[in-house]
Amino acid sequence: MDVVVTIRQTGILRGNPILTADEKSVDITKLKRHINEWDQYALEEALRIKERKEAGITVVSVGDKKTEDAIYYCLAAGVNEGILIETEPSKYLDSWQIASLLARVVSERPYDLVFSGVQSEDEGCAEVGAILARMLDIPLSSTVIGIKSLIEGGTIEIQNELEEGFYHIRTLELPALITIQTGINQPRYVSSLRLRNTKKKRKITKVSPESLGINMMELDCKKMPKRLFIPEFGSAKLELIDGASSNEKANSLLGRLYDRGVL
Amino acid sequence: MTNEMILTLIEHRNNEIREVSWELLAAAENFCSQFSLAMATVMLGHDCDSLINEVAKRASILYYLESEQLKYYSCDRYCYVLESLIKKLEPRIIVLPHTIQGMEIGAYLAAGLKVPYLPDCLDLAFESGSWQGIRELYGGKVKGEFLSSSSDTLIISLRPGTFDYFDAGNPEGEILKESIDLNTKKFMSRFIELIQPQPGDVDITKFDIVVGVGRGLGDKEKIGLFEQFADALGGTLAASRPVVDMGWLPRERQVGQSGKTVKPKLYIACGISGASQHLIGMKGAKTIVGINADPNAPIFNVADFGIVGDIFEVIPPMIEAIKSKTS
Amino acid sequence: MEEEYIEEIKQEIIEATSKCRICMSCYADCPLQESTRGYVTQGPTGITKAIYYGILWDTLAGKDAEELRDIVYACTTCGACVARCEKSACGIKVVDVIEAGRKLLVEKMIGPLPDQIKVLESLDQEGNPYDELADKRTKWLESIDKEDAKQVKVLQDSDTVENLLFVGCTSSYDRDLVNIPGSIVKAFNKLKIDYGILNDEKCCGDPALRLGEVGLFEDFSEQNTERFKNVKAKRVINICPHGYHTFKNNYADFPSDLEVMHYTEFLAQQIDVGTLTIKTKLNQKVTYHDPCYLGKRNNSYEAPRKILNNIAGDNFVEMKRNRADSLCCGGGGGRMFVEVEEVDRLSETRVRHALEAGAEIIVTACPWCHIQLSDGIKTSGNENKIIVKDMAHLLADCI
Repeated sequence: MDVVVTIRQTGILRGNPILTADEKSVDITKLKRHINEWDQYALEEALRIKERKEAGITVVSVGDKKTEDAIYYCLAAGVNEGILIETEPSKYLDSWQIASLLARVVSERPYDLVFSGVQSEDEGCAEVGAILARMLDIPLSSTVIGIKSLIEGGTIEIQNELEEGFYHIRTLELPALITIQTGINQPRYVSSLRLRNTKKKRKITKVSPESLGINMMELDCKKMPKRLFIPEFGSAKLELIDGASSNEKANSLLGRLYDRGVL
Repeated sequence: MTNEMILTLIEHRNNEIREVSWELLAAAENFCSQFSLAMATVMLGHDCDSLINEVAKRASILYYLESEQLKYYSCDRYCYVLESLIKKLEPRIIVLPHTIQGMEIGAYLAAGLKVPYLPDCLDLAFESGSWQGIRELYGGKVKGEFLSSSSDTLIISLRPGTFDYFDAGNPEGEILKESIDLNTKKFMSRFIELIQPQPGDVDITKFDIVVGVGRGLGDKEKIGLFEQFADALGGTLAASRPVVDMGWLPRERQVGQSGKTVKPKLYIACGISGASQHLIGMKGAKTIVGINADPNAPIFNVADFGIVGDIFEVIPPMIEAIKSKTS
Repeated sequence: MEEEYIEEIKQEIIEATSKCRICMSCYADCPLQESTRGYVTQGPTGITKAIYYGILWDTLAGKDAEELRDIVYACTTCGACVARCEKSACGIKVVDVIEAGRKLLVEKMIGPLPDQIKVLESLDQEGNPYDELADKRTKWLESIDKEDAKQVKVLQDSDTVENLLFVGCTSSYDRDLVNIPGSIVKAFNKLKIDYGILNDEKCCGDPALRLGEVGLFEDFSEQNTERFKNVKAKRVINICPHGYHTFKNNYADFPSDLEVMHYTEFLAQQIDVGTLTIKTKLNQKVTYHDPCYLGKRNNSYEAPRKILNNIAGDNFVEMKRNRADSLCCGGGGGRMFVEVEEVDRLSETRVRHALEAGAEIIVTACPWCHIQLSDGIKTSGNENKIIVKDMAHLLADCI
């Protein structure tokens, strides 16, 4: 069984965001990076399939050179092959462009299943998985919270999470693409030593868009950032409770809630 | 060349029109006036006549596409039928809710039609020859104006809870029903079951006062303090998704997009950053209090009262004060 | 056959554990025996043998491995077993073996416990286990006495000082404990000690090492060693015994001319040479809880007692279990970050010991013991009977 997992490396944004000079993106050059949280669950789910059945797992990602770290992490965790579609750093690629690049790589190899995370921590569009499924012309199911059965050469039965406690159960004929929701499993921890060892011993396959027959000048995006901004704190209705100590703030807040008749 | 109309998708589940649909209709009506477009809605389903009539009270034109295979949602069938309708009607804008189903349809449909898609938008504008949507990044820490690559057809999904409800009734709308035969087309997915929400030990939607805890809790052992707080207030304890994913509280207490939606008189968010997935579940609370050490936490954008501070320093004196007031 | 370095870890463990004669002497001293009423029959040798057989029979996968993981990560690394094995049996460094077992489980991606993963991620990203921002580490200075804060030298890259005060993650970030570093700097200021804190202090690495993340620990060890070399201090004074122990025993290239002291040792020394005189005496009954990483693991029992005897005189009472026989508070070995199943909470048992000794104040010299004992007082409902204080708190009021 062949499983492909598409991952994205995101900057870890803690504290105040800093925008690039052109105000079109968040400056991640100084940020630490990691595999997008949803993709970590997708990776773990694929690894569990490998533990239960004979499966080969390939990880593919679109990104700049630093994305290698994310792919090495996946190799260290146990995937068989890691492919980086290397693009220029700081070049904005929208979901359509990313999916187009991924589709080219994925379609050139045998696969039974494609996993991606539901969405990314940074842009949160929840698009790439669905676009990729469409481009590959395979059945899709998103926000998967459980795989109930998997029959090689046959079907996969999955449980999707919906709002308000509802779930759907459906089967998809393989090959299929599912996007994975957080909480489906407990991702394993990959240690520093293991990662170091992997970087020494394993190789990542790096491809350029050109080598895939894609001219980035002609691959248009469908949306692009015009201007990003840091939202103003609070809203018109916000009353910020201040005080010299936490005690004071606590009592002030209570006072206001009693005043308002809320308590 | 598209027709100057907006097509809005109505979402329903378990024999109910989902509330987000009314918000969407209101938003779409606004866009119609803003961009001089005509309004139309579409609903897919099977045996939904009562639902259809409900929608028709608020929508001027409703396309009802009916087929047994459309009884439950599936991406392939829905998008197949929608694409067909869209090719016929050629709407300028297709408006979807950014719900779990809506986000899947938006992306899949846009990919099939090869048109621009602006997901999870808070607003829509037409600027310098392009459609422009406002979106959030990094869980709300950053906002952005995004342009579509074409000024023609646009698919947009709107964030639930952003637009006001559509309350006023309209004169009976025109229902255009079409029965679709999907039996000749081979679909690669098969619907098995809709699982209903499990009744848990506690129904947090029934409480007037809800105390929500988030990642700021730190670890499971610290829950006791917040249990005390909820008890002192006569309310119940709820959690954001990460708290439930980590097993600190059971899923029946999860508030958010994939959890429960609560509308209490008072919602106190402790150590909750306020990512959109959570806000969707509690924005409707009458009074919202946010307590978070991070001044940038998006929770402060929806709160009526806020304290930038340490929940472990603020909550204990609150418990004391409430107890002494009630004793 | 696994990667070479994993095979090496396995060999290390097999060699160390094969010496064990299963005399079970270590059981009686193990705090897990106390906290599970002997029900969890693992104990030190139980844990090491479980790892040993896990390796030998290759059962380190699936549910078996998860069970083993839970057993191995229940250990507090207090070291009582090490002392016992040294004294009464064959001198196996049991805790080292357990830590090696954790290293093995981490390398095989079975460990650590799920709730500890974010601790490691926090260490890696922000240099502390508490998910706090690295650049807020010296913010505690804003919460202490302004006059005292002004006198604290915050050492930039090339600054030097005689005594490097290593504050530690818990004292830096825990808002309940801000008075610990506050009291220490007050004492140091009064004594006119030449000291400073690092502007860019990072974790000593202890949590990483105890959890089995040796690679991450080595990063901290290297970075801190480098930084210490630049400061050219005569001694580093630790607030937290875990940092103290780790610098003394686990850093590979620790500068040989850099003395490591716990602040109680340093201040006891000041009493000896006469620079520190205790003026006010304490009227309440106090007892002292020996932190394992100061006491059992480094034999430092008397320095804190010298200080306490000076402060409390006849009001100092010993618990029945004291010094090497002290009972672990349950916070070490990564247990601060998770909820471990216990029938009798270790922290509550220790509070009971203190009450039985007649104490109104439990004094300790470790931030984790402080947190554990505070919790133990609350959960056992003894808030009106006894409180916890750090040695530093008492000192600051008494000099």
